Amino acid sequence: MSNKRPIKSKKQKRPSAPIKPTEPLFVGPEADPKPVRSLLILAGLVVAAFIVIWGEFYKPKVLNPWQESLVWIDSAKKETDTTLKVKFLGAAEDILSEQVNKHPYHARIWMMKGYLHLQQQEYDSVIRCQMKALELGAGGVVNRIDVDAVNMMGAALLNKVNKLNMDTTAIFRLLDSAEVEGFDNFKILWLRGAINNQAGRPDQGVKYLRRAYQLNVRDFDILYHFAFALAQTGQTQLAKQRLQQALQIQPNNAAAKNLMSQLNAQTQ
Amino acid sequence: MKILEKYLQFEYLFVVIALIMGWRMAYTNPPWQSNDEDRHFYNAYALTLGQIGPKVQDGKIGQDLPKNMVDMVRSFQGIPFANEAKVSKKYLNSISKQKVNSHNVTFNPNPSANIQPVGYIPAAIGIWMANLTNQSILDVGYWARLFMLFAFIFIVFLAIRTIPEDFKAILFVVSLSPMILYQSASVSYDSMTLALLLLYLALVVKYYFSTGTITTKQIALLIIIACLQRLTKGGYFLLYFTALIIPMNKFKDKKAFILFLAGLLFAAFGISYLWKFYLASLDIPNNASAFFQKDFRFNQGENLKYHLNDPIKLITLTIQNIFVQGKVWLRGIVGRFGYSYTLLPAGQVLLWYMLFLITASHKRSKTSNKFKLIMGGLAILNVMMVIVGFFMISPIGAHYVYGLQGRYFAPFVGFILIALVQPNLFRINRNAYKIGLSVIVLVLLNMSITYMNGFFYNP
Repeated sequence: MSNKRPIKSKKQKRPSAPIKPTEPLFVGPEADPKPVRSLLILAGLVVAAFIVIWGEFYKPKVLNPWQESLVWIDSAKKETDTTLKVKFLGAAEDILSEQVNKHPYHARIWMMKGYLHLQQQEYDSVIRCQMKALELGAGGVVNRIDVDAVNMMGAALLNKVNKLNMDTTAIFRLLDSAEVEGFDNFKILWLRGAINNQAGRPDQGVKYLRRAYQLNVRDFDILYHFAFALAQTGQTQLAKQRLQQALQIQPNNAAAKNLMSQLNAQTQ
Repeated sequence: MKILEKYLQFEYLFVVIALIMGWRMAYTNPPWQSNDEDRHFYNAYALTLGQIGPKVQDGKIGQDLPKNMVDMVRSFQGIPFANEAKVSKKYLNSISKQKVNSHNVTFNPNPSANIQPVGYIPAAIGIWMANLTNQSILDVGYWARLFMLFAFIFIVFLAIRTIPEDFKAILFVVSLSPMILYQSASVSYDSMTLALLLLYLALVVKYYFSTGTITTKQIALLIIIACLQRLTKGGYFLLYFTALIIPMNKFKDKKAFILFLAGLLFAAFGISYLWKFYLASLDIPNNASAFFQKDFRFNQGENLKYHLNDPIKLITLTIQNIFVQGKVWLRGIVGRFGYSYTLLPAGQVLLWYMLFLITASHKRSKTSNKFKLIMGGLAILNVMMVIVGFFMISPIGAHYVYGLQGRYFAPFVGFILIALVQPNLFRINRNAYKIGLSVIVLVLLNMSITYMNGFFYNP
């Protein structure tokens, strides 16, 4: 009897451990015989993509073409050198002129162009651009441009009234066309009131500014001009109250502080 | 122990947790504060008044709705939570007695009034029952949310019950993740979309592993769910074709397979035309719904034409947008709440992703490469389709993708995780696994709700 051990077949494998009944093993049709490879490829790709995006290892700058102009305008606002300021605003103008030609239907680009002209103190262009913006985009439910557009138009108009003594009838016609049905634009009411104040009709100013105040009690411009109109019409106590509200919003505003000291002097 | 074995199932655990935490979420979320919830709520309310399609007045679409109800909904819009504004619970109490005045009905312009109504049916039932029992306006809003939640829980319960054991944990964790539960406890078509897609996924995986022939009933069931989903919300139709992982030889014959394919194509491209034909019959003027956002012009066709002038740039910009906005999208899949886009803290979001990966790793099932390729490939292709789709509905000529939020990608998570079928990376007692996952989910959801409560309300 040979004491040799039986030759073990090389192909023979150890039997696999029985599957626990609580851990069923589902095997789908044509199951992948090498799941580890799939794990590396699929899970690896998904997890790697997740890590790269989450870690923000690569974050390019994606700007809409019209937004590039804002970078130039912001730089111009910070710049003290006049030559450079003009140069930066010129660069912004090149972009926005191209963009309004390419996309004349985008209200926001017209509004941005108006903003540029405001920096350039080209008030007629501000009014023209903001009117176009309102014509195209007034009255939306979200991302409204109405208030900002009228605000900038107002700044331009008040400058014109101050400096050029512009005919207020023409301005009111302009504001009539900026009105949107179903939307009380408090900035339009403010502007009507402020222009009436400037034109020496504070009683009319009070009328509009009171309505604007009812719509927005936190707007500095409304509070200041309302106080101004009230003071002009002899309602000093009420004027002081509104001015105090305005000074809570902009405590260092020189015009408001000046008006307050005038009112205080009157009441003493 | 036997009773514990019987009831310690993911589907039952899901119902309990979803009911408790979903209910809390419905009441922690300030009224009509989920994304677009005001407009979805108007649509659901209009259904209860028998208004299936939109009305037109002054060139705008909308519905005739009780004025004091609309006024209250509007009063909750635009609250600057991002600037630390809060809702006072005292204020909510003070208005909690106001009832709907159904005698004073006015036309309310609503740019979303032309959305298909299927997804609003549960909310409409809730509103109808709330009005029937004379609830306050505030409670009408909450009941609408709760009925959306109940419908979501019922459908997802079926999904978890249907899917093979190994995949239950994935559906359990995904469907209880904060963003999905938040949307599901809101008046939004997202609730039914998420639930129906999870049920569809469960059936597809079940049929893939089943040994028998796919019956006509099973084919019809898949097609009906796909049609219902398409009638709820668009954008996810590529996911219907994940059913192609079911091998052709499981169908009775070639004819049955072709019929199935035709059904899927109908669900993807045909069924929504029924609604379009109905809208066409209402003579709605062009641009009647274009008053939502007017600062830019939005036109998919014109924008596509503009970008196709330079297709390489289009591809480059799409990829760049993924890198620029991707992190916010990833965080938004798990938690970015409401109109204020309040992001859940990054740490909590990462914990959820880790939980997703754990559930995807704890499986013993084996699937084919075809399974992984079709399931994962279609889901990722659909993700890309959503990104490019949103790019095309951005302002004409924009380089930045507008309006795309992480929640739009939430329905893909389950599909992608199941595509990553992996061998068992760790072994754990099944009951301990179920209890452990439930406890972790409960703790994480509680953290989310506590965070939301602090963000939205005064103490």
